[in-house]
Order: sequence, then structure tokens, then C-alpha cells
Amino acid sequence: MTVYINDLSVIAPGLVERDPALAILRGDREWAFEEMPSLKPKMLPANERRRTTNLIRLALESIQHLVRASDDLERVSTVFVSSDGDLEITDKLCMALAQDDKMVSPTLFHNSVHNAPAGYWSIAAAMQGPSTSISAANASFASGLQEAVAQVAVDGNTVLFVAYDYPAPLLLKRLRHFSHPMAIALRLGSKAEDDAYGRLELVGREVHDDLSYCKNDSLQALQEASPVGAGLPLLEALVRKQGGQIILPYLRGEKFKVTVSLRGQIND
Amino acid sequence: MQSLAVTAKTVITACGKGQQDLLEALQQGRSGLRRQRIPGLGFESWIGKVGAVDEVEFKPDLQDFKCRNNQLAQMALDHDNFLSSVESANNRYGEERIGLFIGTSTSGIAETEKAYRAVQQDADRLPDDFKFMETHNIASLLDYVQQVLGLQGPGHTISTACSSSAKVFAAAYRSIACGQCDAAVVGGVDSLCLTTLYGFNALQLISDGLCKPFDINRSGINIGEAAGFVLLEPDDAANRQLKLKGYGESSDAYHMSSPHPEGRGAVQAITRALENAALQADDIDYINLHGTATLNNDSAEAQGVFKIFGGETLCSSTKGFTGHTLGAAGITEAIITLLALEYDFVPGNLNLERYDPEVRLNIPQENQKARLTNVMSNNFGFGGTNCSLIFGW
Repeated sequence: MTVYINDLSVIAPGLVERDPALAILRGDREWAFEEMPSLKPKMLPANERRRTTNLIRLALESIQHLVRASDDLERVSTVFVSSDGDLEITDKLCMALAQDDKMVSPTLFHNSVHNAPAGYWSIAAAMQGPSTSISAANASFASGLQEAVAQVAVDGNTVLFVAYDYPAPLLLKRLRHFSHPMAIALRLGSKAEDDAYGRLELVGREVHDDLSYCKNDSLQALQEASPVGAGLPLLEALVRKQGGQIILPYLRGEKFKVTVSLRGQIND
Repeated sequence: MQSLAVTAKTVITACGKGQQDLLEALQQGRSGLRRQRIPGLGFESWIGKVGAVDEVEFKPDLQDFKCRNNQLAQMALDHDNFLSSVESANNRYGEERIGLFIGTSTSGIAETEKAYRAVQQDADRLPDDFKFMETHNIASLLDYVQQVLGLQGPGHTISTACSSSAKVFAAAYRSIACGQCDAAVVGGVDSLCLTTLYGFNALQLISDGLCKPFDINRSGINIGEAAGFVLLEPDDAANRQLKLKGYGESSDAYHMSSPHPEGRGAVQAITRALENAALQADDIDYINLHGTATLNNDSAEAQGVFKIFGGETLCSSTKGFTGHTLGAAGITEAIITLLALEYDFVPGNLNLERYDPEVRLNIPQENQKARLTNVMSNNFGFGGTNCSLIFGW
């Protein structure tokens, strides 16, 4: 199973602007923590934005870079991947339900669905294609890639993949700790577009080789910040134009191997 | 698409435990809905609650997963010889060649609700014995079921509100079609919690009375809980088998909690399912409608279905039997359409008393005997997520 990675995007503290982020992934600069600015995805109208949460804005800020004006919106599918979804909303909901009056706001409730970012995205981008919102906990990045690649291979659409998680509020932090928010988005298709980064092949479960780590050591804190970070070594390989294998965390504590081949190394 | 065979299935709803209970309820027009409260609920409501869920015991090494959602899953796995069907599939295909795709909307959030009620004000921390990852994380259901069934293939949890466990069929098909696995278990589980009862109540979408899908006096949903699983295998053309024949998915791109008023997303999902199955609208003998009994859903869905099928195809909503089981609605209604195929009947649209003149569909109030070849099941959810499935012989 082979697909082309035609574009990519990453949003995290210190990786908000595209060019500096690419420079860090290339190894030209060190990563350093910078407070995330308040994200205002430009695709989201201001009135809609006010109803959204940090997690929703994070996912949208990342995926919005991957749409092309030339896209046939009925032939674009989206795969939204998040281990834990909106922990800020979980916290507010459960807090409200622990009070005597149990008042839950309608917006809070409809934002609580795991597919809320996908819903806001489809409205903002007028995308009526298929969309799924999934989780595989710590294996979310690899399992999400499997679903995205299957969608390209079987349904034949362009697939916008976005993995994202946001740190938990105080009470939940002890139970699920993400040290930084992060989103990684990939534009996948069955054909290489003009500015394609490379070709991705899903190999399968890996028992021998160790998990891949970022070549830029300063990114390690970010890689370990949440299940989304698992994708950073893949982005590094693409941006550095260094093909090869990447080993990702997988289901059941196992590992999953993918390989990346770059333009020039591939027959397209 | 190449059809997949449905080789085993199991289901738990307020209508009973296992396929036989659900079949009898459908054939006898018996609803599982009761007017009741659940612990912590400050109002009475018609609810489709499954009995004795909290009595389900877990193996010692899986105790951390114990919560109503996973207990409901276990209860379903324990019925209809499902465990032995999967064991046999494991022997035939190998554990690592069987995928698991499972849907839930709220997972085990009831445990987090309880933990927040128990927060000690001075300590400002959730109880130490609260197992968040094993009960509430969206993928806890995946982890639990994978361990119980001994599966080692690919998989994920889909959580797209009320289309969650319809979309598992599409994910399983794709995974098999591109060689990630050879067979797959699909399922869906959603259990009662205060989040959905108070949440839908805040949106004024819960009916005071019994839900009345497509009735002129419909006034909202009744919430239910359910769990179901289906085993999908490559189609054996030599035998007459129940099959998954097609799927279609779409996004409304319209509103977070209201469907497109003319059913645009429904039309797209249905059209894609028909194309995917290489069937025409005339080939569909029965449609199990999403039919939640809210004003907006039923009106939009009826317009969308009419646009494609006209007003003759037999249709019904079975929410009056089970309640709206949210993230489990897809699997529950997939199994209802499979039972309709197997036992040659169309379930009546329970609680429909007065037809809405704007609903121009052929919706029987009572069950009808009918030999069915191809049937469709529709499920739509918040965020404008739509899925339409086609099953048949």
C-alpha cells in the first residue's frame, strides 16, 4: 500500500510559523519552547470561532494549510485523529454534571462529540466528502495513517489526515498528561502532485527495530509530549529528504513500520 | 465493492439480550423503552435501559476496564455464540489478520462523571482508583474488546456521534480491501450517562413522551443504550449468505447540531452507497431510517430519501423499540436490517400514530411480511456526519 505525501503541516509551541518550523525539522535550528499564541484559523468565520475550543482551533489551524483551490471538494476525505479528544470539554461537562443543578450548555454538549473539529472543518471549508474521527490511544498516529492510506487506496479520494491532542485541564492532568499541544497534518493521494514530499508505504508490525526518534535532539520533548509527537520523525524524514524506515508506536504496545521514499528515488 | 459476508452477529438492547430477544420484540411490536430515572438524573424520561449490566463480571487481569460501557460490550460478546465464532475465525485467518473497528460516542464518560462528583474539595483530585484510560478514553473499548477476543490485527475506535458504529463497516471494508487484514470484527457500544441525557435535554431534543418517529406530533428522542458486534469475512459465493454490499459516507457541512434542512448530506451518503454497491434505487426493498423523532432529523431525512427513492420503497425507524442508542445506533440498526433480511419482514414504525403529510414515504405502522433482497440502513450524527449502508443476500 503506497500513497504520496503531497503536503504537510505541524503546529506546536515553537512550531507555529511554517518556515521556522521547517528549518527546525531540517535540523538548521534548535527547537525551543515558546508559548503558543491564541490560534485563529483563518478559514473559520469569527462567529464560529467564538464557539470553538483550543483543541478545535488547533486541528483546524493545522489542516487548513492542506487544501488547494483546485480541489474537487466532493473528492476530498478527512481523517481526524485524536487520542483523547477535547479534555477541556470533558472537564467542563463533568464539572457541570457534578453540580446540583447539572446545567449543561447546548454548545458545550454539541462540541463534546469527538468529531466536533471535523464538523467545524466541514462547515468552514464547505467539504461534503467522507470524514472520520478516530482514536487508538497511544497508537493513534499509526492507526490513523492506516485508515488514511486505506481511504486513498480504496475510495480513491485525496485524504487530509490530521492528528492532534491538547493538554488536559488540572483535574485530568494526573490521569492523562500531555506536556504540549500539537497537531500534524498530511495531504495524501494516490498520485504525486507537483510539490510532493515523497511516497509513504505502510509495511506492518515491527518486532526487531526500535521506535524512531527525532534526529534533531531538541525536538525530543515535543515528540514525547503526546501520541501526536510520534509523527515528528516522519516529518523530519520528509523535510530533510532522507528516505528510509520510521518505526511508530502501535496497538497493544507494539511497533509499526512505515517507509518513506523521496522524489527522485521514486518512479513517478 | 466486492461484498463481504456477515458470518456472526450479536446485539444487546433494551429489547433484550441476543438476536432472538430483539427479533421477538420486533415481531411482536414490543418496545424496550420505560419511563424511568437513572442514578443522578433529576427528571424522568423514557429510556431504553439494559438490565443487569452492572452484574457483568470481568476477568481478574481486565478489572481496570470495568465500567458500564465495557460491561455492555462484554454482555454482547457473551451472546449468540459470538466468542466461538471469532475463535474459529482466529484459527482460520490468524489473530493478526483480523481487524477490529468499533464505534462509540461517549465511551465510559459515566465513570468520569462519577469521579468528578467524588472530587475531594480539599484534595482537589479525582479518586485514586479512577481508571480514566481504561474506561473513558475513546479507545478503551478497542483495547478491551481486542484483549477479550485475542485479536492482534489493525483497528481503531470511530467516534462520530450517532454515525459511529455505521462507519465501522466502511473502515473494515477498506482495511480488508487493501490487505491490512483478511476479516474484521465491527461493533458499537454506547451506554447511559448523564452527559447525553442532560446534553440532549439542554438542546430540547428529548421527548416528554415516547418517541414517535415521522409522526406529525413527534417531539424528540428517547435515549437508549446498546452494544452489538458483527463478524465480516470474505464473501463465499458458493453459499447464500448475508452480505455487506455497500457503504456511503458524507458530511453535511451545514451546522453542528442540525441536519441540512433538505437532507443534502443524506442524499450524498445514500447516493454513494448505491454507487458503491452498484445498485439502483429500485433495487432497495427496505430502508431502516435514522428516524430519531426530532422535528428536524425526520423532516430532512424524509426529503432526502424521497428525492432518491420516491414514495414507494418501504421504510421505517426502529427507534421506538430501542430508543436512540447514539454511538451504537449504527450497529443496532445494521443488525435489525440483517434480521429483516433473514426472517422476511419489514419492522413497523413503532409509535407512529398520525402521519406527517410532509413525510411522503411509505412507512408501515405494523410489521409486513416481505421477502427482501437488498436493504439500507441510514445513520446521521452531530457535526453533520452521515453514513448509509447496504446489506443483502
